[in-house]
Amino acid sequence: MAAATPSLGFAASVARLAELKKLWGKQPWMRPYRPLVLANQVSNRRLGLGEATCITEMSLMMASWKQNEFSDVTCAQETQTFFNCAAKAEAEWKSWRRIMRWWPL
Amino acid sequence: PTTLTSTNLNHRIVELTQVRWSRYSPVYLEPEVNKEVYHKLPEQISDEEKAKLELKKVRPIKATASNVTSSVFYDPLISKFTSMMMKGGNKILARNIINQTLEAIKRKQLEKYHKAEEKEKENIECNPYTIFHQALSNCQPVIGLMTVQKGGKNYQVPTPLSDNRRRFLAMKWLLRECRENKHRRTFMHQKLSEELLAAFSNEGPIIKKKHELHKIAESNRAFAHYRWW
Repeated sequence: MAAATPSLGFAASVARLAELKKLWGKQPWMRPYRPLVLANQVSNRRLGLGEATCITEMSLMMASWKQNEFSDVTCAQETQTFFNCAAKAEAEWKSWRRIMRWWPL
Repeated sequence: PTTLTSTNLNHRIVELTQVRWSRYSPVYLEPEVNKEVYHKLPEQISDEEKAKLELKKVRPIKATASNVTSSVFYDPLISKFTSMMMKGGNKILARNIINQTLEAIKRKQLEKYHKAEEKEKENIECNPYTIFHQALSNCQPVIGLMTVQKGGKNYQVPTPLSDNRRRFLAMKWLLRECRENKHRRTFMHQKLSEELLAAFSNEGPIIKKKHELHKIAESNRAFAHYRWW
């Protein structure tokens, strides 16, 4: 119930207040789930949705497709750059930072 | 694959919880099946490989899967294709069909080889394994389509695909084409050898299907910004 940090002054008082406010078996409206410490950033700040990756490489490849009638041999260079970009984007997507960006902190 | 659970977030320590389990802990290393790695002379081993060998001395190693061998005839792509073709666990039947397919490809190519003139003989590929690999890589789509809902409507958005997904799609299209769009009294090895030889020379229905997918992706390139990943 109480937070497990050493500096329990405010947290302990809040916990005690929560217990005192328990009227008629109803739940108190405030419980100290997190350590009551100021964070480095504001919560509820949702970072916006990311933008699509590899769009320039994709458009270059599609332009070469249009010129060369969708042949794979002549567009091999653009296709390779697109694959490299896609591989990099996937590695970044799976990495820790990208996962962190999704969640409101 | 990992998930972020709400209880983790509440404690402000974002732990990743495993969704799929493995009988091996992360300490275990992958086995090295390729025999040529072990026949290398000490001078030819690079520093990275030396570091790997040092690590192997102190770490346990996973058991090899039963479909992986260190035989000269083992090919991971063919092994994956037989697993995909298998029905009801009948791997023996799938493996026999693949062997007959490779034999059929070899026969057809040898027939062509012996009938061709001296100049053209170099251009004819007789190795069924290279034909198989080349045909599958020719069938792989470069770009895929994903349905994204925006403003109540569903849009087909062009997206890049991973290597595994592309390989899977090529094999799936090949199998579906051979199972559904052919006469029911033809043998599977016959159908497969025909399709593989057509794909090797960039013809046939599977290559056409790939090009159609590319065309749809190209026409939908304006929707590419609807992606957020």
